[in-house]
Amino acid sequence: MPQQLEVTEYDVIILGTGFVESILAGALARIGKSVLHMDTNEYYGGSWTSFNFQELLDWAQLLQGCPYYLVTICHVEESSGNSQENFEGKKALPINFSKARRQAYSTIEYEIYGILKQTNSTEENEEYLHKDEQDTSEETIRHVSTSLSNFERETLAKLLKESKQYNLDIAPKIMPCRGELIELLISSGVGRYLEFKALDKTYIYSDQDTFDKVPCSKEDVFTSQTVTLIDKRKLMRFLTFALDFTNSPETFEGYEEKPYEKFLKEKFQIDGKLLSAVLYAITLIQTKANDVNTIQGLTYTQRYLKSLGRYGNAAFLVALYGAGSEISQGFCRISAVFGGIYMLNHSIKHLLIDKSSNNFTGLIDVNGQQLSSTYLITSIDYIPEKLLQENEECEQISRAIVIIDRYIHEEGDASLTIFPPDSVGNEYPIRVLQFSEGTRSCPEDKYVLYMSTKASGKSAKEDLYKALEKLVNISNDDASLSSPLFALFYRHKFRDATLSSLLPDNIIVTNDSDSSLDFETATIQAKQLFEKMCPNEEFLPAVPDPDDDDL
Amino acid sequence: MDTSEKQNRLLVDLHVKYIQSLDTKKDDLEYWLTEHLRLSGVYWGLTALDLLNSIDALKKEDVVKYVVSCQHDNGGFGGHIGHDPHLTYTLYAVQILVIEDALDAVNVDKIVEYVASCQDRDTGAFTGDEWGEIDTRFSYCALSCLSLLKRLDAINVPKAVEFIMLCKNFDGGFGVSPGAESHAGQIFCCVGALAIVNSLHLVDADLLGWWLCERQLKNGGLNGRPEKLEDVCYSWWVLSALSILGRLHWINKEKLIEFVLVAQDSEGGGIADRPGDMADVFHTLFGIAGLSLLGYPDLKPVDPVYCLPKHVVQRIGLAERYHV
Amino acid sequence: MHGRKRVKPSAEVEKLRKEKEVTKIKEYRNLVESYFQKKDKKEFDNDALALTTKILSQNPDFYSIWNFRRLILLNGLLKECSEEDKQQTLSTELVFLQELFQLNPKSYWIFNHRRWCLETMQNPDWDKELQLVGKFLELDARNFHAWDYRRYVTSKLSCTTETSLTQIEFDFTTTKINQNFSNYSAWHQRSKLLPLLIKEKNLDEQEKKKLIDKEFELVKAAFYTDPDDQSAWLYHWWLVAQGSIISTSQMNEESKESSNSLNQNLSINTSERIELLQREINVVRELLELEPDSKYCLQTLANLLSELKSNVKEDSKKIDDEIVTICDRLIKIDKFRTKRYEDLRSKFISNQQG
Repeated sequence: MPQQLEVTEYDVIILGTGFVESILAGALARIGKSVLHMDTNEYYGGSWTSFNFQELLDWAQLLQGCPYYLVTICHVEESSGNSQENFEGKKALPINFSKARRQAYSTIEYEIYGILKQTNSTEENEEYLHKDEQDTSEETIRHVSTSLSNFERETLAKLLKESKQYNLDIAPKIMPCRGELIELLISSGVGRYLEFKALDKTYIYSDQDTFDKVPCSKEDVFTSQTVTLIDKRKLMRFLTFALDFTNSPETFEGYEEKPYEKFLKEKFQIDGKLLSAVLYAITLIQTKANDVNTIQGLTYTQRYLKSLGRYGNAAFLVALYGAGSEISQGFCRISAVFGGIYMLNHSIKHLLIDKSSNNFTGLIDVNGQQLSSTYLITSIDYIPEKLLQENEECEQISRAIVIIDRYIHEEGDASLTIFPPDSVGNEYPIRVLQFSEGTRSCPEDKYVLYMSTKASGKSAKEDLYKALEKLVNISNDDASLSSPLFALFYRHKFRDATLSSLLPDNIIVTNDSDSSLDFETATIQAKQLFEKMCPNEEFLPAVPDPDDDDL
Repeated sequence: MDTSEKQNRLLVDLHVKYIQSLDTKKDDLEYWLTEHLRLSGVYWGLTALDLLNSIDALKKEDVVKYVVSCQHDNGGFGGHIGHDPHLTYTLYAVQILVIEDALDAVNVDKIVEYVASCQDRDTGAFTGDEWGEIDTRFSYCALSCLSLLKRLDAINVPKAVEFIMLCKNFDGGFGVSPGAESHAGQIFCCVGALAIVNSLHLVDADLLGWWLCERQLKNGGLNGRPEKLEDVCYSWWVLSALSILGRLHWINKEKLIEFVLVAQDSEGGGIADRPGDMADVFHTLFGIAGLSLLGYPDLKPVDPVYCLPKHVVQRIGLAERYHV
Repeated sequence: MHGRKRVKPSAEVEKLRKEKEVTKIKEYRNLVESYFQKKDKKEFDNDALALTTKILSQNPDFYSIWNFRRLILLNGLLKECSEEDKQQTLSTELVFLQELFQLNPKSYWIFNHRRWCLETMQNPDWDKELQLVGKFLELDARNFHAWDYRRYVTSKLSCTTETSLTQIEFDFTTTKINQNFSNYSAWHQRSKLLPLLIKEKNLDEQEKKKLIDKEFELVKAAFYTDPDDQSAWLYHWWLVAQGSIISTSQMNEESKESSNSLNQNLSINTSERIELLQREINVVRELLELEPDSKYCLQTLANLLSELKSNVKEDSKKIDDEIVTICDRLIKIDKFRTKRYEDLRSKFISNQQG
């Protein structure tokens, strides 16, 4: 008996529970709009979600296009072949959700590494593989392991056994302590649903295979052993200026549109390693140095510096249990509290477009029910192909999720490591987040590395592999490095549907996650979309808290 | 006249009235909670009044009678009638009696005996009372007190100096006890004590003078230690020490005067620790005494060593005994 | 009345407040009245102790009450009882003091009474006191009562355990300085511990030099990071003076006494001294290139130059000229202290003429 909704008309229907859609769901319900929020996936977060290990593996295999077994993670509801049919006088445009999703990802490769250290315990593990006969992961092992050595099978078995202790973000993000998202989490009260850890250490890779800790605060600069006396002074002068740069415009006069790098060199004599640290680890630019002008650079630097000192000596916070899905769920919760209706694991078949006005009027769901609304907010995955213009130019991000057995650099809940351009043959900076059990990303004795960079080579693996080699013992036999257990490489398109001129005015499309390290652009997009829809309404005012506790 | 205009000058009449009113606040709990400071309050108020040319605002007879009532059989004075004797209150009592020229009202020998009993024969240090707290404040109290009574012979002065010198620090300043950080209040005590016994040659005047003049902050006020907030009372502690060391001109006088004046309560009278705060008699004296050292017009000159009106110190023949 | 904001309440509010205070004043005065009675009658019993608890909780600066409390303990609760009971009574006393600390972390009298309790105890737990004071310094790293108390506790600890805590305490100042190098209290403490450390460790010339050089590195890192921080500069001045003293194996009494002074002229090891001065002059000059307007930097250079002058025969005119130039610059930069620089300047101008 298919689930039918009693109410079929809404102010807003929202498709996808990704980050931006979820904020909008919360914001709209909060001001009294009737909201119907649906997702074809059975989980929250869309392309921002987090998976346990088994889910991640399934997801990767699904994207690789080898449905060797029944995909449990994602209902493949391919639409009927009719590309366009009439429905009560309207155009009914078919949605092909799984195709859209598959197109968003490419060059997917994963590797499982044998545990060399424990060669003599193989037998024991064979045994324990059999003990787990009833385990749901059995099928996975059998399938995946056909091409694996015993050591590798052993690793896989262990990972699957602890699968549920992993919360692996497919678009990992952190939060600047004074950024838009943190302010929103505090002002809206959503923060109280979440837990955080501080990310207070940044390292930068430099020549001679060393990783230097990047000094950010005054105390860091003072205690840093790698920064020379002269550089300490130069850096402090610059940081003091940047924190308050708008108050001394004479310092950057004439440099506004010029490259930031030029400004740093000429006005602050910052060069060499120090320049690299300022550009890539403090300003956190994600492109080549020349692509950032002085005003942009100073704005980013200032944002970073302002974030320091709010929560200890950290510039960033990490949300526990996987940021993307946790935060999305937090906003969905606000939506639900204010009357939003939720349907996960629910496919949509067609969007209905009025022939004369070319406006969206409603949709037909998997049960054939027609649901209508004034507005449609949707992630790009639900847009019928007919309404999209293929944009070949769109940015692609190469990512890797790597599980390792020991921390890199120093122990701690979370750290960030930067490889500046050209340091390992890379065109763009590579950023590596390391999360520990403290962030609830993995079990106690494991660490997760999230690597990302703008795509430049042939594949994600090609873009990231050399950096990975510097961090873990992956190809050479440097036992001082931690050993990898698993690595997944993939590319992710940043599709910007707002560029499509074919879209009806009342369909609002949210973007994919971009190559930035944080949620800032996405948070700003959510806010701007809301303000466009409801120009005179307050964006997520505080919800009275029954327990009266704080962030 | 608006508030800011009023605060361009010293509100003499208002301060006199404020000091006179202090003993009429018996319906404030605060009055009772600060009973142990009553004798000090009389010293602060009386000295301020004299500097303001208004000593008659408090009746001499009442003042002397009250001070006498605070003395104990052992010669020491308590902070109020019935409160335990302590070296600090003993100095306040002697200071008041010297101002009022009424030392004959008490048993001076007994006072000398009490003060001398507070010296530790081995270290030369002074304890505040029989319970044994040691602090360079008490060294100052003892030396100042006995000097005013012309009885420095009653203690071991070289030992007392030796102890003070143990409290000297890397910045040229002094702390409460050996090892303790320099603090402007303590520096006044130690430099004052050394001045009383003609031992200023032991002070590193250039180094300490530099430390002291660095206490002045951008708003003109002075703090008591590096990286601390400014406070009107330091316009006395820092300034008196600079004055004793002959380096009063090392700070910006105009800016400091400005700062003290804006800390006045232009309605109720009195001076607060900093602008906008509640006035009290302690800060009122040290604000006024500071202004006097800075040469503010129509104030009687103050003696930087004894924190008494200069004419009083001259009257008993102690003036200018100290030189850098 | 430090730091209490002046507010002018309306007549009505003031009237209400005074009405409320009538009862409070009456209660408080009754308590004080019974204190005087009990004191006169020498009633050193539990009631009297409870009375002092009440008064002190409201007014920990009423010093006579603390005195009476000690009399009560000495003549009452602690008299003719077992060591165990004594320990118990005084431990309870410490708990009471800890509660008072929370409201008043800077009261002389509370610290005083705590010292008395611990010294009256058979088995004081000094380790616990060290932990407590560590917490105080976490809350306020500049609380000088707490620093004093720390020195007191460590001296007691090293007496009882007969092991030196100098290295541990030295490391503690490193930690505090790394947390915030503007912590003047920590630099001060370091200036006390460094000479002790050298003495206790019995270091040879080479090791001493290494240790002192490490200090120079630390303090340079501080003033290069923030040239406006006076703590580091002062420590540097002192270190320059120490550098000469410590490098000589025989420390005579006189030089020990004047070891706080920078402007001393030690004839011993002049070549080493000159080397040190020149090294530091170069460090400061290099910083001055980046920060031509740093007044502490300029003053330090003037100090070092004047010190150098007293150690070398040649170039004295050149040094005078440079110091005069520095003073001129300081007079322009630091308007609050122009007279001080004029005084310094005049010393070197008269030298030139003479």
